[in-house]
Amino acid sequence: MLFNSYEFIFFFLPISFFVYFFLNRKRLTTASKAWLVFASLFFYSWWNIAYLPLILVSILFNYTITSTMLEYDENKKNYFSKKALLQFALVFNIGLLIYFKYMDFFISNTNAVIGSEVPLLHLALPLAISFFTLQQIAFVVDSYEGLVEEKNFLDYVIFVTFFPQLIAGPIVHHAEMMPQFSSKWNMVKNYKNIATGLFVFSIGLFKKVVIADTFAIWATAGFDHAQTLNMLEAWATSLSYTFQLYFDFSGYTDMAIGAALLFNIKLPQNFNSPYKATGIIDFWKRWHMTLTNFITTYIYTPLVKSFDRLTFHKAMLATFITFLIAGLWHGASWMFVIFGALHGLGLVVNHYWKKYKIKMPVWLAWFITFNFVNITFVFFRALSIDDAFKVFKGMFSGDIVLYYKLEPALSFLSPFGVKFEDVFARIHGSNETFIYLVASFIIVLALKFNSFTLKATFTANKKEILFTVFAFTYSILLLNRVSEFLYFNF
Amino acid sequence: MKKFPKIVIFASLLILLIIGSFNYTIDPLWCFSHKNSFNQYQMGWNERQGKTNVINFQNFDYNALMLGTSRVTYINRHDIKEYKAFNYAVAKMRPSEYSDYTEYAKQKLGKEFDIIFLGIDFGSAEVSTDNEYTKHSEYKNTSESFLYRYKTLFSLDTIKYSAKNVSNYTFDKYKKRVQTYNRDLIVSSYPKSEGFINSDLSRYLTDVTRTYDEKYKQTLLEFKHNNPNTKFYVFTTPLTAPRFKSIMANSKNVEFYKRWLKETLEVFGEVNNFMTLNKVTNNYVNTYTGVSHFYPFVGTHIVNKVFGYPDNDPFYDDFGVRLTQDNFDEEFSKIITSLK
Repeated sequence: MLFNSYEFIFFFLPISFFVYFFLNRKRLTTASKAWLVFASLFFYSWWNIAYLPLILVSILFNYTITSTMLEYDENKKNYFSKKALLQFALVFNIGLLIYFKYMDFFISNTNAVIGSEVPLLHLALPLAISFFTLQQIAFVVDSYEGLVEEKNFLDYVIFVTFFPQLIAGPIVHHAEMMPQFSSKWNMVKNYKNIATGLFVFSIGLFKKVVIADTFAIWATAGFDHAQTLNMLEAWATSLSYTFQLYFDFSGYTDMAIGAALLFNIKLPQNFNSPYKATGIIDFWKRWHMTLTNFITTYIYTPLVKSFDRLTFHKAMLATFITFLIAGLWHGASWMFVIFGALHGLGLVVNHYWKKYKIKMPVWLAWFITFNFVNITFVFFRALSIDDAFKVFKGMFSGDIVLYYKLEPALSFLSPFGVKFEDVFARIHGSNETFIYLVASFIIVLALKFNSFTLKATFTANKKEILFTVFAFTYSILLLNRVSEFLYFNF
Repeated sequence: MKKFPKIVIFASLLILLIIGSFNYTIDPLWCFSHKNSFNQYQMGWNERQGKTNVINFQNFDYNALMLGTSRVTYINRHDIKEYKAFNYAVAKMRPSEYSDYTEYAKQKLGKEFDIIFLGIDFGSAEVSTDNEYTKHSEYKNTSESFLYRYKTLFSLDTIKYSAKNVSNYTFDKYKKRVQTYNRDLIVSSYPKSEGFINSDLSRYLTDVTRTYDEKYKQTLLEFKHNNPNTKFYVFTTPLTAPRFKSIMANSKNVEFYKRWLKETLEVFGEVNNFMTLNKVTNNYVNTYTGVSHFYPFVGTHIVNKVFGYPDNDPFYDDFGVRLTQDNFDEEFSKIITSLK
């Protein structure tokens, strides 16, 4: 079930919350944890119960391997070395991800290159496999490195399956999570956390339902349905997706953080006003921060350590490779590989820029960064290279079409090829599109606060009460859209 | 801090309860069966979803089904005297949709209908892109989704429809609407000025050559085959005279018209053809709300003619011809002659 659904908000979350703290009040702390596991697995199975066995197998496997590692004694006779266990675990986890997520991508590309006709497997992608695999890889690697002491099974299962972060992150690290699940202080209702949780959840719900889902209409129309786009439509399409992605993902993260806080669990920050970034390095310190931390620790660092003699250029190579992998992690498509490669290249350029101390005005740095991100998100969103180039063609060489009501005042532009029509017709847009874009630029650039800073400064004052009530109720009212039949009375 | 969650939850639930109560009272999505003054003039926001909601949520014990486009929605189901009919006609219904809608209604009824009253438009035999339309299964799934009718009570879109329906009653705006439904799904339409009707007609001064759907007859045959124990009462919907003439001015459309009538006749054995020049269609200023939608009182006479009920009004004596295989050629010639 989605966070932005009646089932979650009015049934699942309250029931999970009240039963959890009821059991804790009765000092049945093991039962309360078990309840949290049950609730989380129920949440996961709601999408499709067929996914459940896989996550359970993955959890059991990884826990068994790490337990064996933690009990490993070099002085005793062991059937497998610790390193062999690590390698086996990595092969299993990565193999699982490759099989379910990338097998058809691999097969179709092999068929295209060598002319074979191997049939595709058409495997259903298990929900959240990218997230729970990454989290467990981190746990396995850290267990190998001797960085893990905790091995309570229930805490481990909650760490992997905890429903607020299970489906779409933030990618949590065991070191920051498992102590929270075992802390007795967290088993008592904390009204500050409850209040803050409701506040942050409402912000996230508003971002997702009111802002992101509205942008989705124009982005989808532009990317997937329109045959051609005029210049303004193309820019509106790409910007709509750029804002949709941010408000959707950060909104979902806010809801995850808010929901987790109800249970006294603090999830890590995942976004920090990324569209204010003045460089690609800065961008990845603000965007999907937990992913950046993971790939730095578990991909980039081992890569640089593998070089005999590390130089700046080799570090840049490692950066590029890391982002190629990060791009592919997002999905089994060349579009994601291109996205990753471009960002890897962008990071490399930014590092060289810094190395040679090349200066530029802040506004220019921001302008370049934002447009780079906006353009690379076209690859991220487009279903094919043709769709991406359709948008680019519109952005950089499309017809210049202005709003038809401006024609009386601007008709002198007509000889220069400017047309006056319903500007956003092909993306089902209107004046509302323009208003949303302007408002979103103001929100992401001009406001000094974001949801994380609001959370940090939360005091439950009247303004915050009013805002929470407004954000929550307005979002609920937009959860269910009623579609009108366009050809009424035909 | 302790007060914050209590105030927020209480205030939010209170607002939602007020909104939900308002939407429940008006019920613009036709999920409930209660009637009151405020909900007696309903907008037809999406007949496909709305009428599917009626079938899904309300008592469904009908023995007759009415199908067709928006023109058929104007026909009062109570005009069919011996049967308890459900009007499942929806805007722009295609022949390819007849089976899906009928099967759903039969599933809810638990058996076949005794009769199906089917109004077919001239345009029904024209090639169309089926993916213009949402499949019936999506409406069905929406209606049958978990707590659908309660969730929609807390929707901003529902509030907008509720507000329109309330204004229909409170400010008499129903008189300006093209049509409104009452809680029995009976359509009312309000007198339109001659200027309004002629303005609508002016958009159709000429007609393009239409492409005949080669699958038309097969689609009807399959539909009939799926309802072996049901008697069909089939008619063609009438058009205003100027519109009919503009279509038939194109000789290719004459061939289209002939083929459409013939194939419909071959499938059903008998067709009541109202798409001719007659006193009703010639006097369109008084009988039509626009280019193709007749007033409900005209629909009453369509039913009378189709079912053979007594109809002594001389204004309707040339309204509708019962076509059979035996008289088709003769009646078709008369139609062509009347157009000259």
